[in-house]
Amino acid sequence: MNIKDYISSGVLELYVLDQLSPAERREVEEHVNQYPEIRSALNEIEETLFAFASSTAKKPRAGLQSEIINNVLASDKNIDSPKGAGAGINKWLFPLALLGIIAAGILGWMWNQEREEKLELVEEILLEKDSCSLKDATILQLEQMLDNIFLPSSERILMAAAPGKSGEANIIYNRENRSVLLATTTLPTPPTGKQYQLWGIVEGTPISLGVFDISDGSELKRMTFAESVETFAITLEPQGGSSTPTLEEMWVIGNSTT
Amino acid sequence: MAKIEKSQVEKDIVCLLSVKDSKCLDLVYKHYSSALYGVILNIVKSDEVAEEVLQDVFLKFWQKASSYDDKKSRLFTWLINIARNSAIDKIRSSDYKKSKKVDDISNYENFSKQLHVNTINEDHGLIKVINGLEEKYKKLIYLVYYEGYSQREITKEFDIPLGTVKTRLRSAIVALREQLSDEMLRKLIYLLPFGYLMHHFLIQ
Repeated sequence: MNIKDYISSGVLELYVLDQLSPAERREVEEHVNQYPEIRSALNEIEETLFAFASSTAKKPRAGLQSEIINNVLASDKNIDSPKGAGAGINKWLFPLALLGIIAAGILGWMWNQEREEKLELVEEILLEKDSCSLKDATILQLEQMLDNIFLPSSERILMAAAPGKSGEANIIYNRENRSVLLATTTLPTPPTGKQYQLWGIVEGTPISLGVFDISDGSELKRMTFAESVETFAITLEPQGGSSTPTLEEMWVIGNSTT
Repeated sequence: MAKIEKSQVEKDIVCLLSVKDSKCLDLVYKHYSSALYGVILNIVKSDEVAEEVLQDVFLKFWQKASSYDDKKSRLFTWLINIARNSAIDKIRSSDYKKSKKVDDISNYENFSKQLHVNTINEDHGLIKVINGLEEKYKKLIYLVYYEGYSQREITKEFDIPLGTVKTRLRSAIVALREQLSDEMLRKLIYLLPFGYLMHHFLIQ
């Protein structure tokens, strides 16, 4: 580009007089930034036109300065933001921030809901696991007890109803592996505050082999072992059991055959 | 024209403007209000309206403060363009037109006369400079400057092609500048001890 031709084209004058389109203005600004010669030519034009404007300068009336400046500063306060350019951004900043907070709140709530649901599931799984292991243990116990029943060393003792009473119970007595299993089949449900107690009579003396509840007639229970039991008996005793059996409340009784 | 001093004031103002310090308003008013008021008054022809427009200019100046780029134009150019555009918008607004009849020719004559009788302006040399311009240049600058004529409107007024408007405007400003630097040179020479001698020597 010929700089001299550009300067003498008159485009810089039109630029200073604000007579160019935005696109033309940008072009001039690019050239001014690129070529110092064009910049100084532009500067001269600006100063010349300022001198021209100054030729008709007139002092405004004395009081006008404070009036105008006060009005300008007052208008500044009316605008929400103190900065002109900031106003554009700040106008959007608040709704955007609000939107952000709402979105974060919803996400947070959703996350929390999901977390709570997960926690509930985990708890459920743990509960299930617990009950599973409990059942496993019960099954294992029952299996062991069943094994006991079919051992050749096990003796099955049938306890029949005492005079004036009803019901029936079985004992699997094994002296070798020292176990007493009780299968309560048809004992009536005891009244509240009462509990059944198993006794083993050794050399004429009754020994407590433990108290038990009847929740299900077919349940198999492991009771306390005692050596050389001749007779097994079940009495109905106050809750927690007694140290000596109440003979009038004896329900079933059976003798060992060996 | 004290060029260096003005630049310093301008730098100060631009600096204060960038942080929107209200001291900047006082400085701008002190240094530019007379020139701006003169420009506005030449366009609107009434002190009452000119004061209103001057206030608009300061409001716009303050609101647009952040959009001013000192790399693109000098502060006074920016200010004067705001003033001219505001004043021209005012006289072109429908309610203004109803109350006043705008006659370009008589306006221009008033402008010419004003240059001769302008006693408020301290710089008398400058009036000489403007008056030293060829009539066609003086009128061209006047119409663009004070009447907000577009390039197309000037082609009608002068009956010249669009391309010529640009070069004519350029010539007018170059002529103005030459007159201006002659005047500055003369002032400078008077200050020197052998001013008269040097003046004769240089001007011859």
